Amino acid sequence: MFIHVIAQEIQRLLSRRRFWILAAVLAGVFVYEIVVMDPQLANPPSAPAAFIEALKDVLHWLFPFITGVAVADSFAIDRHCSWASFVLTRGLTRRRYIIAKGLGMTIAICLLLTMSVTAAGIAAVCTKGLSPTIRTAEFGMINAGDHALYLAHPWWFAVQFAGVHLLAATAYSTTALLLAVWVPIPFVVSIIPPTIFFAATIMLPETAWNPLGLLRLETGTMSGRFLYFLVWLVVAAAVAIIAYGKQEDP
Amino acid sequence: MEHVCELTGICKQYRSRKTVHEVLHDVSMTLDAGEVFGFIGPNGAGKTTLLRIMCGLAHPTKGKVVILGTDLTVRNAQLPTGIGVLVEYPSFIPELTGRRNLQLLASIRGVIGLPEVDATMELMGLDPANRTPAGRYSLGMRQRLGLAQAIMEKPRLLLLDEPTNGLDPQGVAELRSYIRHLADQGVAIFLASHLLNEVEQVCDRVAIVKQGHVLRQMSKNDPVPYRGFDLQVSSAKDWSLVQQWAVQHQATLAQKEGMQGGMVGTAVPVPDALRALVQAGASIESIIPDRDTLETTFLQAIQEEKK
Repeated sequence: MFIHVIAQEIQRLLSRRRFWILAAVLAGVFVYEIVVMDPQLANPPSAPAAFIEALKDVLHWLFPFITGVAVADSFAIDRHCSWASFVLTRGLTRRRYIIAKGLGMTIAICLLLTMSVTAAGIAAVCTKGLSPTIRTAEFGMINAGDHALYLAHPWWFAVQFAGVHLLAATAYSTTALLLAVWVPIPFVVSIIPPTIFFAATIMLPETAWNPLGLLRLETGTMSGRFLYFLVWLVVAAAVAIIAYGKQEDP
Repeated sequence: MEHVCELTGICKQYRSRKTVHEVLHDVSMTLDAGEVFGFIGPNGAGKTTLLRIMCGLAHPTKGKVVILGTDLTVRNAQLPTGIGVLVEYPSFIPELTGRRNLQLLASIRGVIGLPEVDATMELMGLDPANRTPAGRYSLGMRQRLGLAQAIMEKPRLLLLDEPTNGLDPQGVAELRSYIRHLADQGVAIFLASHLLNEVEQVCDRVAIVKQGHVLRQMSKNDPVPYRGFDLQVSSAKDWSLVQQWAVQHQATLAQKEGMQGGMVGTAVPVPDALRALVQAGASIESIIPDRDTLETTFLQAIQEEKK
């Protein structure tokens, strides 16, 4: 039953037209950033380095926006249709429902990101002559520790980089979901989480454990970044599950 | 015999910072297999709240809710399978077809497949092959789809909140006969509505509720006070025959102004009176028994509560 509800949440989000509009907009932003980026300004000055920089520059700030909109849309469906009631009256507890919903949203957000990054990659190949394999020396703008890890185990590094982003997406979407528990208007839900994320990241000093800096690989180590988003996720999820479990009208 | 549904002393309060708003006060009722129970009251009486408590969507502040043998007021109680619920104004995932919506819902419990989904849609007057997204359905079609999702898994307890919302007269008649059909098959049905006529025609028992208080509970087997009948005859000559009959049977007459007819106050049952009047040569246009309807009982209960 639980797995079915996760799958439903993904299908539900993928069925929404605005989800695909969001994916298209996101891909458009990526492609624009990559097309306009001057490879000579990258470090080192090459097309692959420019691609990575564009990706890192866009990804970290678009994350809160995407999660905010995706979560708001999911809650908008819940508030505008009787789906939650239909599911809950089929025996799923409210807590399990919100966990399934959170997981489904995260997977849907990751699918959206993957599609957008793929579009960006194709654009980069077409416009900058990016080779399919990025040469190790051209992977710039990362700190010494990460660079060493990348040089030693490029695929393991890639998995970790994607994993941190996956964890960050989960932490962001869970926090947005938590905020949405008390907000009755879907439009406001879509405004509040990105606003809070932006405000928090701007107010946090660049040198501290700033999520933007972490996702841009400017600060911290890979394990530190994992721990950071994991703690965030656990705290947000615990509060969200308790709060949502006490709610009566999703 | 174990009741399908048993509510004992249900209270529901919503608290804000300064006020406590009581939506339900000490509501108790039972519902057995094959029975249709009507819960009627004006808007805001607490009908929907009670229905939501019965299907686990809301928790009572006080009281006990036992559904199909499961006490829902126990911490972490699992809602039993075998419940079908139609919420008020049901709406579905707008981009998906009605069939796809039902298919997704059916996959949660996994007890029925696509053939059963299609059969239920057809039963509810919906075309499974219709590719129109549910978001473009009319109110009546949404209601039919809502009913389909409630009954498709063959529930033992069916909770319906204003089931005739948006249905055309034919749809209302079909639903009425289907509710009776389900009850005959042993399904217990709880019907919350503010349409007295609808409730009166299908329910075995009725509770009248106002501002969270159950004012009266009645059964269709309860004796109904009989006061006489409303009679309409063809001519003044016929009316004079009625007057003669009234004198013979110590009945009272209240003639309607300018009409050959009026109220006849008597204890003589309608068939006996009709037979006697026809034998006397009166031409009868219409005869309607004057007894309490659900509407008069409802209004009376509301008036008494006001006093």
